[in-house]
Amino acid sequence: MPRLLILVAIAALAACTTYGSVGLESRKIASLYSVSPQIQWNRYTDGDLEVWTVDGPLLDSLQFTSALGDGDSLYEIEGQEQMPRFRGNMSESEVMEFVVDSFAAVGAQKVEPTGLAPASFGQRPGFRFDLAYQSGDGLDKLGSVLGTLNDGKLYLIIYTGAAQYYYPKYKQAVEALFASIKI
Amino acid sequence: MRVDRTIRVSFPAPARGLIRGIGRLLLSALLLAGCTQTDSLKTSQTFQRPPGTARVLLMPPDVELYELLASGLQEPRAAWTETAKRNVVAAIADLLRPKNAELVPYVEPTADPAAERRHTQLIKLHDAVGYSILVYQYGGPNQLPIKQGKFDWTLGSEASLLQREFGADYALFVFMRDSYSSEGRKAMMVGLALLGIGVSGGAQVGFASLVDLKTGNIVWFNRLISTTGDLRTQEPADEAVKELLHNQPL
Amino acid sequence: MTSGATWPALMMALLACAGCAPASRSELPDAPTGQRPALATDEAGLWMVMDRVEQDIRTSGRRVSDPALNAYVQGVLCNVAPDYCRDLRIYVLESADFNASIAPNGFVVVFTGALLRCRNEAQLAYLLAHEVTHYQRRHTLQQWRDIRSTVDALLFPEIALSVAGLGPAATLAELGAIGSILQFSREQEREADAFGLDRVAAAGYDPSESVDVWTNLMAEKKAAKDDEPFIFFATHPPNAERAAALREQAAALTASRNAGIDGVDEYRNATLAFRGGWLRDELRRREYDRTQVVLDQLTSDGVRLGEVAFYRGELYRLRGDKGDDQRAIEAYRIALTSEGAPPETHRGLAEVYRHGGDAKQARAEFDEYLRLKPDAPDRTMIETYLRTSE
Repeated sequence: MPRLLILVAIAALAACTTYGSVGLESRKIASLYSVSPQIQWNRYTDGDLEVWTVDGPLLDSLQFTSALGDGDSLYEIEGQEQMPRFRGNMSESEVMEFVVDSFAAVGAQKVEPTGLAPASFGQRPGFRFDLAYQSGDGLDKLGSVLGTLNDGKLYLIIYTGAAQYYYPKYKQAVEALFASIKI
Repeated sequence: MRVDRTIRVSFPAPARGLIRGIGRLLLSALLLAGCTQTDSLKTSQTFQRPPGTARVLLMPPDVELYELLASGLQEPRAAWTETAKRNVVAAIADLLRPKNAELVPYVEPTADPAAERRHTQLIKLHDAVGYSILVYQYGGPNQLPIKQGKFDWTLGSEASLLQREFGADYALFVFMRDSYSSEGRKAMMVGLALLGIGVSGGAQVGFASLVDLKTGNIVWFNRLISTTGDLRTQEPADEAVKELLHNQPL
Repeated sequence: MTSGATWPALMMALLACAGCAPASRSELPDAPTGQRPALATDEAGLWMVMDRVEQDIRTSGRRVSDPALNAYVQGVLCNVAPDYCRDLRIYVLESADFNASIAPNGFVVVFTGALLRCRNEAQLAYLLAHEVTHYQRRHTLQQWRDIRSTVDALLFPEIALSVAGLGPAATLAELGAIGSILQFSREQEREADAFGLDRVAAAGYDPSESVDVWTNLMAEKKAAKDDEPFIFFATHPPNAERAAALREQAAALTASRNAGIDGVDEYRNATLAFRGGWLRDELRRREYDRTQVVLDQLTSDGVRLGEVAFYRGELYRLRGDKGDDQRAIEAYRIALTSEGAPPETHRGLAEVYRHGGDAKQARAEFDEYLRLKPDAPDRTMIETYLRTSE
């Protein structure tokens, strides 16, 4: 953990994000589909991303993208134009590559994708894959991604967490959440 | 998600634009006159220590001392730091002894790469959890609503490997950064104060956490911000450690 | 409380100041071997902070821990620094940027982006010898002392120190992203080049390879867009005078002794296995114009051209500009006629054919990809495509 961040944290100065919470009732995501949250989450929005977390995004994080279109990047870095960008004619393999490269672009290390396979995204055919990587500090992390391509648009749900304790802890709830998608 | 380009922090990046604000805000959090602020948090569950002497694994204290120069630069001081580490360890031992708790020093398992990796991952996880507590638990602007009103943070059952390897019941993590005004700085502060301009002197910031190694649960956590305190000699170091370990449950 | 200058402004102020500190200030005796500075010194303070940074680097997610590669770079380091061999450690970190740096306590960092771009051992030797000279001449300590005394009215200790690359903010993130090891003065850079080249020649390497390091990098810079950062240039400013000085000194050194080796075979033996992964990291940056230059230089090396052409194909597939699909197909096809094309070449072709709606060709290429790569991570998905696209 960069020591400077610890200093900032102690002095309660980490950049302000206002967190809300998500109850158990069904929830609409970006006017595209609804999910059943399964457990209580904290939530915030970051640009076009809706992010849910129980213990804070360093430890566990469930990200919902809006519909990504041609030329959209998954993440943005201030002042940096060159980012991996989605293209409407991508295959599932290329989407997996796009997600892996996006993770690397924001500092994830040694990102390894596995298990790309078809999966249901609500009533629509979609795909899923898993990720293993390290944070820049070297903390082992795991991820699971569910997505669907529809008419040149990409929807993604990205679950990540510390490999120890946190990713396994909410995995079951996340799988149930994936299964609850209604478009 | 936006990330400040100049700082590629661990993904995801919780601290946007932090460098821009830190100097101003860090110093404005402190008053010119002596001010010490500690906020300790205890586990929501009942705390039950094992019978007899509690063995506390003291993780290598992350302590650094700096001299704050008139120019505003902080010069790292190695000799002060060595002394401070010794004083802090002695102070912790003295504080815990009457509570029937003894310190066990942490030793890196350098001979065994697999064990080293497991230890390293556990310590990195503690770093991430500690940071999350500081940012998301203390009721500041980043407070996570679901965590409010309770304190249930953990490293998970992997922490028990430290229990097995060291025969320890708890692990204590300590982090301190301390800076001391140089003579030039003190003179400047007085001079500017006469002109009605407030400028900070040195500051002490830190946190400490106590982990139950059987469960991995963080049973106690404390955050310290102070403008007084001196780790360079034993008695004031004892005082500072008392503040740092304020309300610890042993 | 005075209002704060913003961080970038402070950085510029400090860097500019570092530049205008009085030149030729290398009055410090060389760093001794085999000992740490006395605890009460300012130098010990720098070591203390850098020891902690080094600890973080040791277990960082970026660290490449392959023993053979580490032993190789350690060997080159000790070739050019037989005097300081036991005082120095070297770490290889994954980053597509070209950079190498040394900290005042003796740890060297070399990015995989630099290892990708060095053509031979002599070029790596120059990079490392240059850094060793910064350590030998204690340039960071000198810069720290200059800044300490010349900067005034800065009331933001954390920022100032973090800009100087020292103190609590000196983390891996800063080291990598902003090249935050203090920018050395022109005089110090000249000294590092001059003494470094002496070391290179004394170790038996061809000193003229040092010039190629610069000309190759400059070619890449020329092709790059204006806002693309070159971390190495932030701490090692390139200029015409620099390359000329190196050329002159190299010529003089070569005149007075044997030409020296380039160590190209040894270098390739040590690094070729990693090259594909490093090219993948390079492509991840999506800075296609620069990557083209790197691929051009690798093509002219003529080693395992199938792999190079494959990544050229990947570049076109990822870039996706008008006509790029066709260019990708051509590059992949060239790859298949040369040595070293990975099974993913067929997958690349399949994806591009798929873009173009040519399902028949796509299927054929996917079939071949799966045949060549039994453990493909996307096997299930591709088999589904093959079934459903009949």
